[in-house]
Amino acid sequence: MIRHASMRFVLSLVVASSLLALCNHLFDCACVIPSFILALTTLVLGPLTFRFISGVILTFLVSALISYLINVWNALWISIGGALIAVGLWTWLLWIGVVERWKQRKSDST
Amino acid sequence: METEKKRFYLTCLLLGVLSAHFINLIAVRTLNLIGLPFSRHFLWVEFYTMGMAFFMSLNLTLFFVYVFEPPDTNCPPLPGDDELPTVSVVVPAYNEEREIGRAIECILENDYPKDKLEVIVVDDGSTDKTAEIASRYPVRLIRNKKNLRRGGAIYEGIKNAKGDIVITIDADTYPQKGALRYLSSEFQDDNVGAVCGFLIPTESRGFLGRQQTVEYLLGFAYNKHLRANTGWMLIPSGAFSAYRRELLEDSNPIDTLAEDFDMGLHVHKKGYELKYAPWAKARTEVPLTMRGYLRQRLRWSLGGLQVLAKHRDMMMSKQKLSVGFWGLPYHYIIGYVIPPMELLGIAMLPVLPLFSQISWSTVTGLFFWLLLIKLYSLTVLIPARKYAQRITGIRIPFRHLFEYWFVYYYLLLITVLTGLITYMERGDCEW
Repeated sequence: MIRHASMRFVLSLVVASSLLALCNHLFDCACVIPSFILALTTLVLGPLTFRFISGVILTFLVSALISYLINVWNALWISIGGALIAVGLWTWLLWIGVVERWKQRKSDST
Repeated sequence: METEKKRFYLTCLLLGVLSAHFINLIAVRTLNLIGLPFSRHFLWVEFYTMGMAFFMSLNLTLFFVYVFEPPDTNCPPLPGDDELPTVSVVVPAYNEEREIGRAIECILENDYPKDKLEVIVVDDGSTDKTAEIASRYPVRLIRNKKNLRRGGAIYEGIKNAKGDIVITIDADTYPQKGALRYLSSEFQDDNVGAVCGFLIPTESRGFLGRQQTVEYLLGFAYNKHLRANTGWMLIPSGAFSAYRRELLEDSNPIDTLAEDFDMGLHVHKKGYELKYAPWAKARTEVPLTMRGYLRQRLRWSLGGLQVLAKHRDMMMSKQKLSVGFWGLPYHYIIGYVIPPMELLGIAMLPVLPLFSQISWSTVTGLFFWLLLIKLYSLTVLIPARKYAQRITGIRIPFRHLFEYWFVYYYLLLITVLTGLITYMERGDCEW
């Protein structure tokens, strides 16, 4: 796990951009939102291994799903739904991370 | 909620959404006029514009609530001696030899009845002459053998206090004339559990000095008023606030770096209200070096996360709807969820054309659209600027407002991101 925040920031941008390119290539669609969320997850939840891995898998699945749906139905509501799902996912992951970290710190101090 | 209140909030929501739509229309029209393309045909642009529309609608709704119920700018007469409760002023101090004397003098000369005032200085393991200087004044001095940090020092003071009301004042904060009276007289209302005063920085030199002055003036004249008025103020400022002592006896705010937020939520949990007294003014020292500033903001941001996690049972709790379903989610989303997204969104703008079908002209259009939206949203700050001037007598020049909105705001976002990352990495930081 990369400990240094600035390195993680660069890594997150690289990963997000790569995912963006991959989505673009595979689905002929620039699915930015999940890549963006992935970058955030990598950036902030990085040290918590489990959260990091689950974040990556979840965001990739959402990414693929949204890309597929947009390709099938190219509709505005898919974009809106995708955005809401991605932001909701990020909000939820972050909240779980915050609470987990607190519990971990409390158990360490006792 | 009363029907009349519901109608009022719904009207503000309607006005907020319409205004956000109107601002967006003007921004797109301006872009068309100057010949910049603004296309929404990409998911990324759609996401960005929708997010901004939601954010703007929310902020404009709150703006209308504020404008229709503004602060009272007529200074009330000083409360008489009979209306005042007994007060214990707790001053936590750690290596404050330069400021502690002036702070104690300001408290003792604050025109509060002597028989109702007790001053407790908690020397939190200082290695300088703080304790020696404090001992020259008629105050109770408590000496912690080791540094317990701010929350621990305040809690020591609370445990030793005898007054019905505890006022916490930082050792580098100087209450102005009548401030203690204005603050403590709010407790005549039995539902009030804590009251927050109005803090004004002592220095406005340099970029950090003037921008923190703008931040404090707008923060107190706008945010504190709006939140207290609508029942979801969460943080009584640690540097100058008052609490009912009985409510804090079991608060134990020693395990977080934001003891004011911690104690504020504790008061809400006990079913009491948090109020704001704009005429209880105090001057406070603010960090003027970037290093000091970043350290302070790291503590605030990280401490906020600790408190949110500590009081997680209050999130979405029905015990107090205005806090559980509005105040805390709003604080979490606006304070911690949005800032990293906003920063990373900006950082990714130049990357987009390299990896997707989005062209440079689309990105340029989006960038200028954001710039215009931000420019038009600046109007939200103007009423707060006016009320801040009426309360404090300090005028914020428009160029400082621009600097605040377009430069300092992003520094604030960076401090939040740093706090978030440090919290996830270590869970805590040095004082």
